[in-house]
Amino acid sequence: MSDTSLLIETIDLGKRYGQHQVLQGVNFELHAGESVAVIGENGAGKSTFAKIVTGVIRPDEGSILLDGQPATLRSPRDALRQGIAFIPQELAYVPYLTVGENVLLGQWPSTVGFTSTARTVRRAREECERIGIALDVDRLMVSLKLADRQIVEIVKALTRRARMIVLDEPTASLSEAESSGLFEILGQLTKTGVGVIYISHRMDEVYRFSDRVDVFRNGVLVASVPPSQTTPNDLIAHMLGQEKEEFHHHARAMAAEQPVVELRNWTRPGIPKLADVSLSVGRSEIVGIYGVRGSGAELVAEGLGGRHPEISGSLVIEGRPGRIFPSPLAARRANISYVPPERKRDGLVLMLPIQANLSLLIIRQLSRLGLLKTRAERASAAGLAQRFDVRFRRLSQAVGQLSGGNQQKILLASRMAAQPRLLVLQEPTRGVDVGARVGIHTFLTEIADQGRAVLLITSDVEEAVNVSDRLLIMRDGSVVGELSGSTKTQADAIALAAGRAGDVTAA
Amino acid sequence: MSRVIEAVPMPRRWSTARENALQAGLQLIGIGAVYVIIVIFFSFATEHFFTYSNGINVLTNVTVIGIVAIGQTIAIISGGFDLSVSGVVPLGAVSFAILTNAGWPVTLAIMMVLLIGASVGVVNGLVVTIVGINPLIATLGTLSITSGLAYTLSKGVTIPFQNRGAGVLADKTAGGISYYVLLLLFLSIVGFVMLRYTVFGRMLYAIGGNREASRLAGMRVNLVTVLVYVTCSALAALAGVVVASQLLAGSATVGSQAALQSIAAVILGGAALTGGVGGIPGTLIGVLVLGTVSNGMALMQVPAFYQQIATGSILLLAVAFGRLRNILVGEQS
Amino acid sequence: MDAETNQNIRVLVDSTGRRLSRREVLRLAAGFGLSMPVIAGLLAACGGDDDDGAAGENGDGGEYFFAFANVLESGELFVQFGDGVIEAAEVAGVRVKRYNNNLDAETTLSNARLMVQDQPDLILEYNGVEGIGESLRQIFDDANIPFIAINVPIPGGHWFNLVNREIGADTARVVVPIAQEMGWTAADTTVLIVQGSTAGVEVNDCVRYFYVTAAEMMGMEEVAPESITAETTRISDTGLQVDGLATLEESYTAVNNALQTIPEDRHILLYTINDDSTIGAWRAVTEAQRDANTLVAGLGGSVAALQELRNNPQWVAEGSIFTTNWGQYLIAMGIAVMEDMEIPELTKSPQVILTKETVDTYYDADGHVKLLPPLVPENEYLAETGVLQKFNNIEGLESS
Repeated sequence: MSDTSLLIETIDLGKRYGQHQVLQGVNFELHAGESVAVIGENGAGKSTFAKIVTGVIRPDEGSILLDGQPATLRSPRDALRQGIAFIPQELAYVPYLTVGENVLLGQWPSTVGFTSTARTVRRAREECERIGIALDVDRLMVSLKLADRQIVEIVKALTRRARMIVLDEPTASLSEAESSGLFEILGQLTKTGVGVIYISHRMDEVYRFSDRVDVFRNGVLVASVPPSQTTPNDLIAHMLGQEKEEFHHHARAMAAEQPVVELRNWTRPGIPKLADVSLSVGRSEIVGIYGVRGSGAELVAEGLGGRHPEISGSLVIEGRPGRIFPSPLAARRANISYVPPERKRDGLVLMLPIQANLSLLIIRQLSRLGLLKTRAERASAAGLAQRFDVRFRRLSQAVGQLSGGNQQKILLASRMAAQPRLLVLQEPTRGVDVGARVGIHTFLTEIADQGRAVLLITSDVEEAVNVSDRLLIMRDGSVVGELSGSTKTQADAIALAAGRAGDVTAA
Repeated sequence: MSRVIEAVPMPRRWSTARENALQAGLQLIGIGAVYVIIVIFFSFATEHFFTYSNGINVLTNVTVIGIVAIGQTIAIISGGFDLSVSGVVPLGAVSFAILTNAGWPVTLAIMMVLLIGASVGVVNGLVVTIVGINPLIATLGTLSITSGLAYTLSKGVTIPFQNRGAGVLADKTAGGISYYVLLLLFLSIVGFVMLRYTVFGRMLYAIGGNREASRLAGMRVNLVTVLVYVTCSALAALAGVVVASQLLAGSATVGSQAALQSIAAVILGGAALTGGVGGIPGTLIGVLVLGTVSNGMALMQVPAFYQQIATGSILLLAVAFGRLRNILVGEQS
Repeated sequence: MDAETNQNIRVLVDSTGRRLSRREVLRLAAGFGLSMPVIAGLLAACGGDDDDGAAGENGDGGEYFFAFANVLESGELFVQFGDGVIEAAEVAGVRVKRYNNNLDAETTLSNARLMVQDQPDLILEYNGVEGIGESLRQIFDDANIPFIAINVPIPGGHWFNLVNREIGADTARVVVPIAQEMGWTAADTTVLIVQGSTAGVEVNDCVRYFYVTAAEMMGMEEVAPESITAETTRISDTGLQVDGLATLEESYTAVNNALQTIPEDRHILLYTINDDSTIGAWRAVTEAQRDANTLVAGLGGSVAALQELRNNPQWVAEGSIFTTNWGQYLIAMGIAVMEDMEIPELTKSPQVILTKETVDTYYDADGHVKLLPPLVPENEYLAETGVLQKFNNIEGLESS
């Protein structure tokens, strides 16, 4: 195979959802043996791009050329037939079959319909030798570690003659050593002519492995350069572009009293890990934590929600030391409200009416002797819905019928109904429209103004920088920097989170 | 060719072959051991238990559930399950009685009954795949329909065979074993080979283990699912023929326990309701455990209520044991 | 077909799937028509004799107007019973409006309310749901309408039912002498009874009293009838009870197991709570090749059982309760109520223990009723209404 052969080329690729142009005019190319890192902020379009070139979704505009010929990718299967494999974050494997059977999934060697595990495993071993990756083919898939399952998926793609592999944040759940192992294998593959596209959030990986880095911003491919010819700060500048503030933070006088909640030495082995994280949130303060997937920021939020009893360390509430919440109920009892990111799964009961959702956490206050005081429930719900500017037709309407933004408002309102001393929010604006986003940010500022403590965990850098009074940046389980006041910028935050501390000044 | 990379390290504690044998065999060994203990217990508890004639008696009593359970194993491995067998067994029994009484030759009648079962399976399969309804609800619906059909066709009463020859399946071979016991044995072997050594069988495990991965790997997942339900229903209809042959009559009251008992047997045999795990040997032992416990307790003259309690307790213990197995094998989450 | 069965509704409630009426089934089958051609074909062949409207009315005059709620209008047994009531009413010149209780409490109660709105002279209530009797009584009493409860008693009403204990005891009185004639004694005979635990105490009276009576006659160990409960398995050295759940299949399995514990050389007297159970149990006996050593009696008078009684030398008795003809007794009973006659607490349904000798007296070759047994003394009042004579089918009550 020649190094210069062009595997895939896209011309003016575009995708829109309703009025929203998520991808526009993307001209991309990948050569055999080339590895390309794709970076960009959340919502920049890199996942959409990956899904289009792997056949998961179809583009609305532009065309795709494979080996110089126009091609249509009807489905992931169709893409794979044409040599393109997608390794998603959620791997698709069969747990109770052997590695060999997974590698040759659906293509087991057979004679008139008869096959056997031994035969399949033998054939898989031959394939592995051909590809040059040794796999322990007769182990059960379920007994492998996540990193190894990922490699099995790669081998599986290669046995199907994939010439191009697209990986979506492959290292997000891997340890340092495992990541190195993965990149070693990917590097090996590129030498045999396979093209690799991987979506990443980590600057160190970009520099360690890729031949070229492509930066997406607002659906547009804004830069395409070899890492050796650019600096992390340039890349970050490309990711951010012109900052457009949709919301302006205003400074707030903070009382220098004891913090409302203080986390001390939170530690947890495993992936993602936490390594000695300590932080505090005071009255009238919005503390932000910014980090990419796998940084441990989400663990802090979930831990405060009582979902990680295995974390060691302690928790000081209003000066009283205690242990980390063993259950969500314990968090509720300590009057800490946790707003989960998966509102449909963890936060709301979609088929229940608005009023029932709004009284989820205060059902005891709204009942006597186990009987619900329906009039009080309605009054409470009406008050909350008005205060949070929820758009609805009737309070008896099912929450599932509302828009994402309104659902998020109801989620917030239900969590605020209990008058928590600390509100912990995780990705509060994911998947909501711009108007609702501004509304939610305004609301957070208001409740902080009223003296409440807010902890905002987000992977949205704009939100992290604009809304928080103090911004902590986490990477690999540790707080790697703190930005505050007017000194904080999105560029600094990204640089810290992505792992090139370099010239960033920590406040 | 470039250097070979050691991607997946060799396991540390035991050889892979042993590990796999352990994984596959642990539940079998466990349930097998339970069975041996049950046999020993009853042998001491009652003199009537460990005799040749009672051995045949147990086989006779488990045959119907055994045949249903083979189909149920296939359904559960592929990630579904089939409650409608409780309606298809009586439908098969009633149809067989009606057809043979109408003068159909036995073989033709059996084929017709299999066809009736298969068409129920087609409905189950299509409702589950195309309409996308959960198997629980889909097969609960067809359970009600087929059971209602059985009552309608039989007008709610027992239909005795007019033609004694229609009960040929219940005739005895040398040694006093009925043909239907041999039929169970034959179907078990076919099922075992199919699951272990054919591409179709491997697809069932793959689809049950991860439907999406299997679809992406190019399997015709929906088609396979429909075939699974067709097989399961056809076997249930055949079980209906067997029970009618045993009783020399068709009745809509037969088989009401078929769904529960067959699912219990399959789970006892080490399958998971989530799919992807299980096998015929385990299922057969599961069927034998259930049948032997109720036989042994009947011989000990324990009231039927307590037999139900014992059966339920065994099922729960076996499932708890299955959890233990997963921990022992060191399943990675 | 199974015109008569010693049958209590509670047996039926326990089986699954029986609640679909035929019309619903047909409708669903039609929906699946394309994919289930075979079943649709079978159904079509089965015919469309389908009528399960909530209420139907017959006659256009007559002296009295009765409302009649049948327990269920699907299943041959109930349909034939219901039709029997209507036919009897026509013969007697009584106007009857028919309802379908559909075997569920809500329908039964709503039917009760509908019935009292029509202000009938009398209500015939066949309620299959235990525990709502008090509610029904209240509805009928508030409307001040007399009523007759069929099968399951309702407080404050008249009651028409079979008497299981008498059937069981009478059957023993037929079977035991035959056994004794063959030289069977308490020393070499086992009584095997097949109960149906889910059917309730009253239904199982038949097998209980069969054993008690047989034990007394054979000189076996005697036990109190109350001591034989649903949990009893070993009654005595010569008595064994198993649970067949009132079905063919379960009775077959239960007797298969029981035979393992009865030594081969012992004679067996086999009796169960209904014909289905008996047929299943008998099949187990013949498979074990112990039929020559067993005497069996059935209960119900189903076509299959009558055939056995006629052809099978070991099947020596069959209890029959003539459900198809209950209608004429019920109409007569209703008229007796109208005419303020003295009504006993329980009016017994006709019953007879058929033997090989008497079977042809009561049934023709197709299993249709030819003759009904003479009225028992307590039921003599029914004859005084003059209604029963119109049917000209009861022994000793020829039409005038």
